[in-house]
Amino acid sequence: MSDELVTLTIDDKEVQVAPGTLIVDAAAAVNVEIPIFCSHPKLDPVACCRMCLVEVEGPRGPMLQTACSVPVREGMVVHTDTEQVQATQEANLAFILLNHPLDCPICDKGGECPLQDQTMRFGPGISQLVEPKRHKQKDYHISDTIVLDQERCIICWRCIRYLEEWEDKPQLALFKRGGATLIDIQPGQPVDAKTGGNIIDICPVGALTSKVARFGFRPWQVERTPSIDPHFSTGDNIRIDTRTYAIRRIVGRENMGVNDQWIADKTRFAWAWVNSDERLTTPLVRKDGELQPATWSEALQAVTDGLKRVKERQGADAVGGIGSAKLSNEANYLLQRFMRQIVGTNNVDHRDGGDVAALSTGIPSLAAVMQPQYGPPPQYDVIMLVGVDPSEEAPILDLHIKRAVRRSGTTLVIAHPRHIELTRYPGSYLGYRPGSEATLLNGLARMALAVKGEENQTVSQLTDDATDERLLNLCGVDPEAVEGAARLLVEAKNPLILYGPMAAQGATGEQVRNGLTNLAMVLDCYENLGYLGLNANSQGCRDVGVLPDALPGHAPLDDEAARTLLAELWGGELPTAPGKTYRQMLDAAGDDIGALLVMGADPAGERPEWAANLAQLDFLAVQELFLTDTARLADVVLPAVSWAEGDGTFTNCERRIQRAPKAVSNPASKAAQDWMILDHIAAHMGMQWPYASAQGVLEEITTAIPAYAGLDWTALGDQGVQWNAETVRPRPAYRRCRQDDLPAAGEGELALVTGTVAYDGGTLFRLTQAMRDMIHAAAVTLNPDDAAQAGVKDNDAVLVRSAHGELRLRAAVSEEIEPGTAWIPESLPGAPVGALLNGREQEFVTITPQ
Amino acid sequence: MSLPADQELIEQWRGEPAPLLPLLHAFHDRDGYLSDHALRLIAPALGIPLADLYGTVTFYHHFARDPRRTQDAPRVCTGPVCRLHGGEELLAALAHEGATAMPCAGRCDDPVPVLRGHEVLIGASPATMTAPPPRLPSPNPGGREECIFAEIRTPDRATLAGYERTGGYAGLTRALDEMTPQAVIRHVRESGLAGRGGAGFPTGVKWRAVADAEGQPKYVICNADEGEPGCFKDRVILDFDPHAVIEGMLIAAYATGARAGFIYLRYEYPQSQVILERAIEEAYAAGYLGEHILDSGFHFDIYIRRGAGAYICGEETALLNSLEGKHPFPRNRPPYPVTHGFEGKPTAVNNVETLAAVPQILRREPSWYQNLGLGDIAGTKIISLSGDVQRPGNYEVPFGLPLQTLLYDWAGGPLPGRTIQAATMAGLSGGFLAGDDLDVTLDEPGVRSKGSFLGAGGIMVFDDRRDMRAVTHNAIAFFAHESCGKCFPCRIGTQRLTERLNGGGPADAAAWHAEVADIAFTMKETSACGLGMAAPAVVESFVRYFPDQVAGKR
Ligand SMILES: Cc1cc2nc3c(=O)[nH]c(=O)nc-3n(C[C@H](O)[C@H](O)[C@H](O)COP(=O)(O)O)c2cc1C
Ligand code: SF4
Ligand code: SF4
Ligand code: FES
Repeated sequence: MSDELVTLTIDDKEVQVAPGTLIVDAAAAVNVEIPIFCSHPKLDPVACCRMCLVEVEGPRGPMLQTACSVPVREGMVVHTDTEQVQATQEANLAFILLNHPLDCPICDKGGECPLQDQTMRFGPGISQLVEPKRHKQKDYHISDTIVLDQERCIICWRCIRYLEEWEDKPQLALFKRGGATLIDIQPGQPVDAKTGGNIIDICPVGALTSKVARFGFRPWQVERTPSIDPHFSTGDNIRIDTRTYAIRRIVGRENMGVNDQWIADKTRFAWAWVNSDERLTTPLVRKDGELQPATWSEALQAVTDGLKRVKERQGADAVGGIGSAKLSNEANYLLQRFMRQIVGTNNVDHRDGGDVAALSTGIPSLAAVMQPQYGPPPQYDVIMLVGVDPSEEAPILDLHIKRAVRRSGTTLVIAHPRHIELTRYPGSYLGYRPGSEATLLNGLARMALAVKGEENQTVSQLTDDATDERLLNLCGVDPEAVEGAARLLVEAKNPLILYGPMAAQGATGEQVRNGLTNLAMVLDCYENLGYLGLNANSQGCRDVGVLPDALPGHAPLDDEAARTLLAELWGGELPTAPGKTYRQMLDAAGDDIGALLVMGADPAGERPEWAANLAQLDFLAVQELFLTDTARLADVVLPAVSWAEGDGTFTNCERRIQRAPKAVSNPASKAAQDWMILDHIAAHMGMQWPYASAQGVLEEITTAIPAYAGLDWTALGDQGVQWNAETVRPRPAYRRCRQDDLPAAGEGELALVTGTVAYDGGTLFRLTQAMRDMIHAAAVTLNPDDAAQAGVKDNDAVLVRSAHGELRLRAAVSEEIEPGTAWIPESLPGAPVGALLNGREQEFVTITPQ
Repeated sequence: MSLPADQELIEQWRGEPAPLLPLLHAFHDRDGYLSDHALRLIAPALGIPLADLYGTVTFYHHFARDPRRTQDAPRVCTGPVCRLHGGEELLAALAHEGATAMPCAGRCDDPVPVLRGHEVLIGASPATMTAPPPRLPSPNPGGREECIFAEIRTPDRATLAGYERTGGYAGLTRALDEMTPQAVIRHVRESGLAGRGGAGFPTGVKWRAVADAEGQPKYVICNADEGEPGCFKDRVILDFDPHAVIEGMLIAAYATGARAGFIYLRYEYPQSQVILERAIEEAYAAGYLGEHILDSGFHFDIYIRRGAGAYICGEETALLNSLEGKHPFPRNRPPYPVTHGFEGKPTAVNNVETLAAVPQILRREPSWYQNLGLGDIAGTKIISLSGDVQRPGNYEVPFGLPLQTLLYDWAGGPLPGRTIQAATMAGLSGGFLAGDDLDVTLDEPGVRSKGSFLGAGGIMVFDDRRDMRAVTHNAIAFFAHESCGKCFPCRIGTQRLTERLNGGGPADAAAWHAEVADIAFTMKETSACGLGMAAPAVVESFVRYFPDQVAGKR
């Protein structure tokens, strides 16, 4: 596209815009508003409502043209305010109203309805034509969460376009024709796109409503708080609408650096847990073997006593703290400060923390993957995903990727043990056996060198375990497919490589990270290597030092500058010995670990073995929203508030620090913010911290972490600010990457594949009544061939057994699962896959019919 | 004979160009209706989202979706002329067979057509229904020199042998042997030939644009959807002179650089399909189609694609969407089909009549065609004349012929004892002319000077017996029925006007008139395609010419 601007005149105002700009947007640039309905700034124009007709001067006199679909031309002269234009607008609006039920007083959109607004501004004031309105379906469920009112629908097609253009799931369509035209789903096939709820936000009338938010409020009664999504690591921007101490609705909020204006359905609909009766509202202390309500001071004293007792008896390193990537920077920062400064140990970690070889810098940037409706194309022509499934783990990133593929021709290289949804696009798919990542990456690096025709002694030596034979037998991948993938990567102008925790955990995590680094260096795109965490604050939790081997700001424990800085801030000495990781603490609980302070994590629900270990602890304190499996085992349970009920900041996967201010509160609850609970425990232990608010904690973080300097609450604003990756990015260096042989599968054994699904059985999801039927079934999915071998059919009850335990599940049979593997997501209702795991890279299971 | 299996049908069509319609028809023909099962097979086979396919199928009115009411249930024409000849009564008489009404089926010279499966029956009552052959255009009463009909009455003209005997394929031969594509375009442009499908766009200019457009392959599409009520000229050409259309397409393809072409044939013309298929087969066998045509380096293939009951599919961009298997809404323009047509490639869409004129013109000099017109307008136009006249039928008239001459001298005038009350123009799209305004010459400037247009050339005559409000109500109901529903003013406006012609709207006459005028204004100014812009004309002209009937019958 040429950079030269086009000059045109709109209502006698001269305006210069980029070529390709539509008249309607050019007009907006000079504050001329043209009424629209069907047009939407994030969708392709269809020009069906004809509201936006303007006069364009032409050789044969002025012509009426649709401003929403006609691009500007040099020298164009546009009039939006002639009598003719006004007459058509009025007449047209009268038409639309005529076909609309005008049930504004009971409509959810009342008060924020473009149709209402436009009628006030451009319309004749009243509907001059009195007609029998159309009678169609008014309460029609097009999915578990979205309700369509066909009478209110003005057939603007936005919903259809969203699902087509963004989701690539065209599940809504136009049926019939003329006056009988309807928006409908194909019978028996509800909308199941993971971000389908966005059509509610863009519907210009109240024809689409949220089943979980309907009738809960009138738009003018709610208080609106800009916030961010608490589920996914992309940190999608939302607005929380509240009224009388309760969340009433969550809608998308625009942030062109993050989520455009889209949010996932889980974000939009799954918030019932905030208002749930199951929430903890008072501290609990174990007395006579039972957890019983207690006052805060009793509870805080019990924590102080417990921790002190164990520390005195077993030493500081027998105490551990578990933080959470679901909680704010402030809570996590204070947890590590508490453990390091007051307890005096580096035993502080979180799930997917020290056990995963992550990157301190997250992913480069979301904006670089995005293809907005009008704006620059994504920067990457090839995106490689290693052990990441954006459809389940980060639905908005998934949306961006799909858009990049379809609109900008980005190609995908997917390495994943499962045929993830994105494999539906052309590109390259490497279905490797879990645990063999390092060898696969070596294979890719070697092939990439070969394709480039380059010699590199260092790389060749460091990656020499990747022979064709090993690729085939160890990874289960055809070497030719690896070569094909390498070729795509080498030929890419600017490839992006993303990996997730699944690909780099446990003992081999470090090897995998080395392998990824080597590959990225061979491809000359080291800065484009990114790590995608799973939770809203996966990045922040690391940034603030909830890691056993790093201080805030990703500083190694022995980093003198960091130690000095923190010592000055906190006073006193910092522990030097590396702490235990999350898994190590839980494995050692009841043994080397005598006391744990767990904040917002539920390891007992994750693995039965850990539940048993936790029960052996001398002392267990839990800060929680709910009485989780872990909380049930605790000596003291401290009720916490959620992300919506207190101020906090979260850092998303691209290092964007964003605010989540308090939006709602429950006056009947005694629950407190996590940072405040920690502050009080510290005080009980004799340490007066200086914080008056979450903002105060953030203030300290901006000093403790050089990359966060200056990024205080005010500076972050409503759109957040990214911290600069260069401040912590390690120097590139080729490193050895090696994979030991893995035990071969025995007779009838399948390699277990696990991972996250968006709709799991976790508390946050399960409490949303409307979405219950969407929860992933407690099932093991296997390839049809393996199913036949094992003698199981779809939906059979089966026993899944590993060396460590067993689970009773239903069988599901699907081609999507690679032969030789069995897929069981985490957090299934009542079926923790952790029962089968013992922290090894590869686990085998057998499946037998019941 | 065993029926083809699902997979056979899918395999037969999957790799073909524009496969959706023929594949739907294949299942429809085999099963008598389109089952859910069939749609669920077709959608993935053609890569069409299931919801889209369901939506698209429900758009077409001739696809039966119910095993109890299959394509064999009779469809009875209740178009404007058939209504005068007992269409409604016939529909009632066939109700026990599950009969449904269909809009004008293009046999206005031979009412009332009933479509049953692949058969067209004609009759006024169930007992007298037969399947007569279509009617040849009667000899030219004015003795005027003809272009398109010049040879059509020669026996066997529809066969290759008969066609070749009467100068057939001489135009193509001349083009290939003696002319460059540019010269062909110049020749056609100089002849003054313009589109006969309604819009009257100069054919040479259109071809030039396609020839110049970037993008390959290019396409030629013959628009044989003839859905305009009161038009049945394309059918006669296809039935009696199919090779002329094929030759016209070949010349268009040579001129524009197209490699393939489609004939988009309306569902209601099953007999024409048989005739066309045979002619195409003959043309392939004789080397007029396929590769190295007449031993030249020119290649061209023709595919027939059958519509499924939607007037809007005659609009060229809706037609393109229909061919592509999309929801058949008109597209926004620009871009135009000449640059972004079938599958986004440069495409010349031409009407049957336009294409049939081309071989004649190519055999001769441009001035010959020029001079066929009586006035400033070049050439001839086929008028489908029907309704209350003595001799309804297709007449090839020179542009500039007075309407009165056609009505009275050529067609014998009104029936004995009757007078002509009104005549429609452009089928229904031009609305009515009546009274002194019937004194026009048949060409666009003439008809437009009366606020109407000649368009595709359908003229339906209503004599003094007829209730013009009822005629108008049915006419606007047709547009409401056929509005695609894409754009608001037409979707809603056609409904509202229909209601107003059926007793609806304010009781106060002035208010009623104001409303009708408002609706008509909005539709004309803001509709996205010709259907919505033209639809109010019937209502406006009715109100203008027959104020008494407005007042009396409301
Ligand atoms: C509602 C509508 C229906 C139409 N139906 C037909 C038709 O049945 N046949 C046809 O040739 N053109 C029809 N047209 C005109 C076509 O859009 C197009 O102008 C024509 O096929 C071009 O061919 P020509 O240049 O040879 O006339 C229709 C237009 C509109 C707006
Ligand atoms: S449901 Fe809403 S968004 Fe969808 S077409 Fe109707 S009015 Fe438009
Ligand atoms: S004018 Fe009518 S037929 Fe044409 S696009 Fe609009 S709704 Fe469809
Ligand atoms: S906003 Fe332009 S036609 Fe609807």
